Amino acid sequence: MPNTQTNGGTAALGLKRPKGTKPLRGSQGKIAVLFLLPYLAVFTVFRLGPSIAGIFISFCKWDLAGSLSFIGLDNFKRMLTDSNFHISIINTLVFFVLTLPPLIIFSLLLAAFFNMKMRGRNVGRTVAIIPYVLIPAVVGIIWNWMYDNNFGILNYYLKKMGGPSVQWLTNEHMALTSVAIVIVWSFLGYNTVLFLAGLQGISKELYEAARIDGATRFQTFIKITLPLLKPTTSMVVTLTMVNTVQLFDQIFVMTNGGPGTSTLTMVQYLYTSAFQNYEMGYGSAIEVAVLIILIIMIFIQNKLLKVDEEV
Amino acid sequence: MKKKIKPGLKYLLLVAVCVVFLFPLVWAFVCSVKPEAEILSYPPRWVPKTFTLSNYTTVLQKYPYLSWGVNSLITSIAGTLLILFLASLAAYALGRFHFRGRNLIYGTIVTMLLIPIQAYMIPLYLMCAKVGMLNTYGSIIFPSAANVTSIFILTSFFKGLPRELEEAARIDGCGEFTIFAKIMLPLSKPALSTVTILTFIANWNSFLWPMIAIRSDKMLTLPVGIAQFMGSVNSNAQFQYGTALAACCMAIISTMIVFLLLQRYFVEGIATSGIKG
Amino acid sequence: MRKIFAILATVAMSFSVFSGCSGNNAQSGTPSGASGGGAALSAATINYYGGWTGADLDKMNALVKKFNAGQSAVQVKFTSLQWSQMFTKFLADYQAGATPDVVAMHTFEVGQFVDMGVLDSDAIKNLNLDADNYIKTAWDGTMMNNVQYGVPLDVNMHALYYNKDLFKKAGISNPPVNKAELIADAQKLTLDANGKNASESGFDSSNIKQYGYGFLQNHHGFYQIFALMNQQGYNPFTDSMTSVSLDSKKTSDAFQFLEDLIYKYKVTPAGEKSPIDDFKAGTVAMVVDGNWQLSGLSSVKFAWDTAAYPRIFDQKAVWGASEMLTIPKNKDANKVKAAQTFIKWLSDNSAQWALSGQIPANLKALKLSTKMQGMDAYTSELDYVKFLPANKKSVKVFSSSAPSPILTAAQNAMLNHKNPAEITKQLENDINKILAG
Repeated sequence: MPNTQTNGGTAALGLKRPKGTKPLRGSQGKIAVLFLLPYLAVFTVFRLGPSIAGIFISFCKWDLAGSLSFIGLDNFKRMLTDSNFHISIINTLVFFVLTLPPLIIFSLLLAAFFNMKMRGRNVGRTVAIIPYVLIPAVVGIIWNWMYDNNFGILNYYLKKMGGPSVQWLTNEHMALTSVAIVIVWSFLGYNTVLFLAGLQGISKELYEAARIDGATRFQTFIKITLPLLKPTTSMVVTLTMVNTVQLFDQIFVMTNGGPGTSTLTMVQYLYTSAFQNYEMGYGSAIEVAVLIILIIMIFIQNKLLKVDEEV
Repeated sequence: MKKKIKPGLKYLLLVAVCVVFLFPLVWAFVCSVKPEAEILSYPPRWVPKTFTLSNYTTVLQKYPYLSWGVNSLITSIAGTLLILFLASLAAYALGRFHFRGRNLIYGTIVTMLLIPIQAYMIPLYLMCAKVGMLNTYGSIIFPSAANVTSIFILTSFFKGLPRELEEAARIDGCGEFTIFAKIMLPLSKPALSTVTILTFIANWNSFLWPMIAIRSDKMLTLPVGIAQFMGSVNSNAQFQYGTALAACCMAIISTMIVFLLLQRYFVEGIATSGIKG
Repeated sequence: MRKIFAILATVAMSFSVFSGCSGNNAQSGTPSGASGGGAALSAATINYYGGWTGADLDKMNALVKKFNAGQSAVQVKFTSLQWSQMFTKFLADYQAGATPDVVAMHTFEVGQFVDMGVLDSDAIKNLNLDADNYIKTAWDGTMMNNVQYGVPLDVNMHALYYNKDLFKKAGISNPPVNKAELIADAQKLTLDANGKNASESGFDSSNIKQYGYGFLQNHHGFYQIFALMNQQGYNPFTDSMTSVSLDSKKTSDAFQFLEDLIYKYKVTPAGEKSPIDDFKAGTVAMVVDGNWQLSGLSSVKFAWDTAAYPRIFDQKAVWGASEMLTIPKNKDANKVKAAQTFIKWLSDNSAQWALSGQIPANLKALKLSTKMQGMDAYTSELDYVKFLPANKKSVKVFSSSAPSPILTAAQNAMLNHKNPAEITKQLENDINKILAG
């Protein structure tokens, strides 16, 4: 199939129209409706509608059993003075900062490694993604067991090597880091596979050309691979960001927000407010806050990675 | 000219990577075949003093574990097939058709990525309750078909396919639908494979919504059932590590079986020079 | 390929919507049997929600099965999830007009649900139960403003488990009953790698092989603080409180005692995850834990017994809680009748519930129940067991998951070794914030 695209793999993942082609004249609205309707129907009924209702609830007071009462911005005003809420924001951001760099850097390196020719790399790729496919509760239980202060295998090896035994999940300064380690372990393979797809989308001719020109491996990586990988990187960063900020299952199973409030992320606090304290309105307001923070983060990320997006 | 990395070093690294990812699972399995008293003994041993399957039999006898597995299987497969059908059509339109409101629709859909299940599960629950949908497979399958990541991935992919194919086919007199079905779709195997496995795993692992939507123990999906083994911070009963780990290992095995069956398509998808045409 | 797609998808969709195997009925709360008139109870299926897991769940399942098998007028569908998840389901179902017919809960939770207006007190009143047939504290716990909202099912509390073999080795003949004995015994029972105990010089506290005293340091840690406050004759928490003022000295002393056990006398491991597991493994000689652990000790290889919770301060007091059965407000009078029938039966037959180490609140059932090994210490505490109040904000104040004032306070003391006076001040502030909000 003749390929007239001149910008390599970028077009594959970006949304920009390839150079040299004309936009299609005339609206294709009618046929688009046919294609879109089935999905949009399910989407509106089962996701969009409830989400809007959920946002509306943030302006109300509701204990789930009785009826809603509209209270305007009171929930948001409360957030301003709620120290638990402030703690949850800090925890969420710290958690993000702890997990994002390893999840991008290590997975990129791992993808580059798997991109090399070697026997058994398929096995490596498959193994890397196994943690990602596991049920979060299972991951939580297994790591909970490994982190056990007295009988856990990690402390056993630490002590054997002469180190101190760490209170992984019971020390409030350590708990968030311990959970972050589990998340990095879980998502590394997923990001690796996405980066691998991006890497394999880069034309081999470019590498050949660089080799002929005498570029070192490092120079090739910096000047050719990374720039061409930008759309993939942008997508991986966005997905990782969203997944990390919205992470719930594993924290719920491992620490449930504790010890103290050290692993109380915003989503965790949302759940507690809505489903343990039956303050549905306040929980929804926290969700709106999460939404706003994510939008800001994505905005910043787009500016930093300067990916051309036709929005 | 270029330094080649010694093959020996490569394999060492490969083994190290595998160890890091598999270590917790192997350790969990080793512990699951020990009796509870030995699990809680110090120092921990890699080779069990007593090998026992009692933890596994306890889980299978006392809990409807197999029912949970079947429920997960049915809801995950049905949900994945449904989203493949819905999303390939919708993403194609969003990626390749021009029409008013396209960006608005796409933007709205993708924005929903930022709103997690916790935010809309109560309104969703009340709606399902009103139409009597609760405690059925449908209550899990339909919300799962409102998946956004698949739209995200497929739209990008479809957008990147070359125009020339389309134009050539149009000159030949093909209708849009034929172009979609006969030309574009076959080209999308890699992206569709990716979406298949990602949505299947997301469905399989889905926890919070099934926990709310399902009322009876027999209808639970696997993740919700297993979470019971964690005990609860509210309840007083501590959990037995042995049975909890046995339940986890069986879940891992069932996840692995499903994953390894599909993984071929996934790896194939990546191997066939990925996203580029 | 497209065609196969479409067919498969359609099949999947239709299959999923109309299937659902067993368990897919009783959605809208209509009785599955005839709704014939007359005074007699017509056949009804009712929904019963509980929050038990593990061995407790087994016993309750068995009881429900027995009830269903013994008669056909009322059939009970029992759903058990973790407590807070179960309550969420309960309230969501209530909102959707399909409330469960019987809901189990703890006495300190009843205040919240009464405040929401979801519980039916008349249904309980019409059971005409005899107060004398129930343990007094449990009975009182089901009351809010002198109105009864549920039937007490059981009573749970703390007590001391002790390893008789380890006691013998250390030369101790009886479990401790007061502060001095507790500290002395615990020190003798805390051994380092060289076999020295915590009261001897040269004791290596960084190399402890066996601890003398263990306890949970989460919300159960606070339950001990609560008990220790009561042991000083002090209980500031009431059903109707709208603010609380904590006596700094008394509260601090309580925190100080538990902190000292960990950091001064070094007889308790900080951050202990599962005291009962440590006890079973023989690495801790005494643990404070509840009667719900009794059924799990059958496989233990050493000689053990239980003793009353030690009296650290002036009076005897120990934390306890009670589970109760309530009837949510229900439009279907038939279902209410069925619920009443079931609850009465469950209460009268709760002797079987005792097999999982529970103490039935129904005195007749208590008499009939087989005494588990170790139960005596618990029943001996019934006279002075203290419950947390059923305040409408109790669930938030005494929450066992973050953010929770008591959890933070307990962990600040036991895990972070903070100053007890400061902990008390923060606890008071946190609680008042919740009570005011």
